Amino acid sequence: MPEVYSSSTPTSSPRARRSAAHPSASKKHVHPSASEAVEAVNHRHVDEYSETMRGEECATNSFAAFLPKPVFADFESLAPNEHIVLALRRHPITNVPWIVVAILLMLGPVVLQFVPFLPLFPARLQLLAILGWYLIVAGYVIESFLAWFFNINVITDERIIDIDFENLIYKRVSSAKIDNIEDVTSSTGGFIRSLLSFGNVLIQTAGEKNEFEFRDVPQPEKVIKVINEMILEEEREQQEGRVQ
Amino acid sequence: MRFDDLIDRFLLTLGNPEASVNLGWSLVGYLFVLGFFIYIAFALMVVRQVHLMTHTFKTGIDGGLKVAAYVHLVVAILVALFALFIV
Repeated sequence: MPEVYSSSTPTSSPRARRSAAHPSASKKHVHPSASEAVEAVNHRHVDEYSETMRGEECATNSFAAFLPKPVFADFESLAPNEHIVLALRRHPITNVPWIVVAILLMLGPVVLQFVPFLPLFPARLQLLAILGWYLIVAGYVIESFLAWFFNINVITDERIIDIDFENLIYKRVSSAKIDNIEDVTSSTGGFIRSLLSFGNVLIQTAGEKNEFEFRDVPQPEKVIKVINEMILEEEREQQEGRVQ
Repeated sequence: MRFDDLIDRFLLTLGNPEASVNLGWSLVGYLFVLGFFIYIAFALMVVRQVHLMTHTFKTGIDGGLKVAAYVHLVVAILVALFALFIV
């Protein structure tokens, strides 16, 4: 018989939710309400059933590409009893091409100084051209960074969520329940990918969007292992009648 | 001033090589200004998107990202005003 506490702490606040998701991350003791106590019985913490996640520290670096049990992260459509298990971005090495292009573009005005016809332009137009050039480079850097930063794949203990932020005018968020996952495949090809251990994870589901691709994510084997553990836990929940 | 007078003055400018060159550079300058104002629209879109995305997924550095987006917008506005001033 679970012990039931009375408390005025709101159960759906992000702080309470984070504390429930990552008990080790919070030093404060939060008295669970009756619903939280019932949830604790019905809903096990990821560390209890996932051997892979048990060995992972809670992520605290917002810029990391592999974010196990992120302390800071919160998702708009996260249900009250749903917790983020793993968040993934493309491996940081995938940013190298746009960083190189940006550095070369920044050197553009320096190179143009050696072009003989440039002094023919009035000084004020030369200045405007240089300002415009650097603004365009800044825009390119900002868009490339945001495209990497907000292109996130999230695995919660109930769903997988794919946030595609291709550019400033295109955003797509799709999700599928863990128990709808039918097949998970990882692929790591090429010298750099093998060396730095990153690749694609392809998840096939029975839902409306029947294919999720986590592109260039770090440690794809570990991601697959976590997803398989989540699927097993979902099956166990159904068998034990702990389905919410 | 009548429209015919404006046309006459424009044709006179075309007849004067120095004035024509100045007119040409001024037109190029105004094209730059137009470009900078289009860039302000882009900077506004960046601010809007950062707001939307930080609302969709909270990352822990939402405040910093929003400040960066606003700084970018302010810089774009200042450059556009500066361009308008010197053209």
